[in-house]
Amino acid sequence: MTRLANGLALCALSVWLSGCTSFRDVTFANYQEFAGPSGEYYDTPLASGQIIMTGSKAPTDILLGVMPREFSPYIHLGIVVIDEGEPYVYDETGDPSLNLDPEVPPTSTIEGHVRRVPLERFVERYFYAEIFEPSGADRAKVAEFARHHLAAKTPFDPYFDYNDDSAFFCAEFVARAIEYGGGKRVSIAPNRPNLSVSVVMDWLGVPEETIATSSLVDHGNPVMRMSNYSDSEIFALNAFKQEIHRRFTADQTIGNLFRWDGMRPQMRINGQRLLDKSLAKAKDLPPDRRLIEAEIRAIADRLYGEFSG
Amino acid sequence: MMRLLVIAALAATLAACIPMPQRVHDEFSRYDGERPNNFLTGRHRADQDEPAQGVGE
Repeated sequence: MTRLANGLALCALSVWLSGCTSFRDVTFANYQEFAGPSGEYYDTPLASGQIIMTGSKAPTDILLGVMPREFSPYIHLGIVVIDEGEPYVYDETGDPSLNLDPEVPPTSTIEGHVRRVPLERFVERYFYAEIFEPSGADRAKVAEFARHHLAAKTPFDPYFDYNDDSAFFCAEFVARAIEYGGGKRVSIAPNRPNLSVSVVMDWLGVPEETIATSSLVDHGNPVMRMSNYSDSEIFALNAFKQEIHRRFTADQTIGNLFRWDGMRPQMRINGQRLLDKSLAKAKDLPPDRRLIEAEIRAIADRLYGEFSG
Repeated sequence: MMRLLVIAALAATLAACIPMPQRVHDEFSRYDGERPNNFLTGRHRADQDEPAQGVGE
């Protein structure tokens, strides 16, 4: 017994020292599989070449969510690849470095390249994550594309320029992988017209168009969902974002929803109240997407006034 | 030692701050919740049961 205890302690110590945890050791409060086993990772539907999309309630992500013409609840995406028996996410991201000149936008200081993150660590950063099959593409080719660009350290594109093949932003990385896998070339859609957003985009040097992420996967049919929040809370967060997106018309200013705290945008109290009330209401509601959307819209009507927009 | 700590703290603060030109800063300051029928701020609902509270942070 003592030998067993010593063995377990040694094992725990080695896991702690290596910083490694298997995906199978991680428990999410909300873990759902909507498809049968893929045969690639134990008895789960996980497979290399699937697309992972995440939702977040961070103010920066909510701000980015109001810009595209087409609403999408997702903020970041990557490609699932099973390497040496463990699932990873390959994605494109970057980090800004020190900059003291206000005329130099943070985009010009952001550096990064394709990276590989263990699936559980990737998911834990977000409110929720959903995994989908790539739209009309061969999964093996999608994974091959991801591995190639990890090895090549293909740089992150902070200017979100889809016409520049030398660097990718997150959705472009996935879109190009799907194209490589035989899927159709994704469409680029202009952002919604809004003068306030244009001022910021102009400073950042980012074109006012973006990838319609809905064309990358079949949104209606996730393979898996992982979160530490309930389905009702996930649907409520999405409904909140959709309602904010609907109401952020061409005449709205960024300042009506956000203020700048020196480092990042923060939600003003009016938006925060709708978010808080939406998530609180979700605790009393069944996981019915349409019912929750109607309830959140009713809360927004009470807070802000009925809007037919 | 203390001076080193202060410098390190200052460097960390500067690194964490994103300077922006006034025109961009203005967009984050342009709160027009006083405008009637603003369907994002709810100021026009001030006489209703759940009025939003404007800037208030």
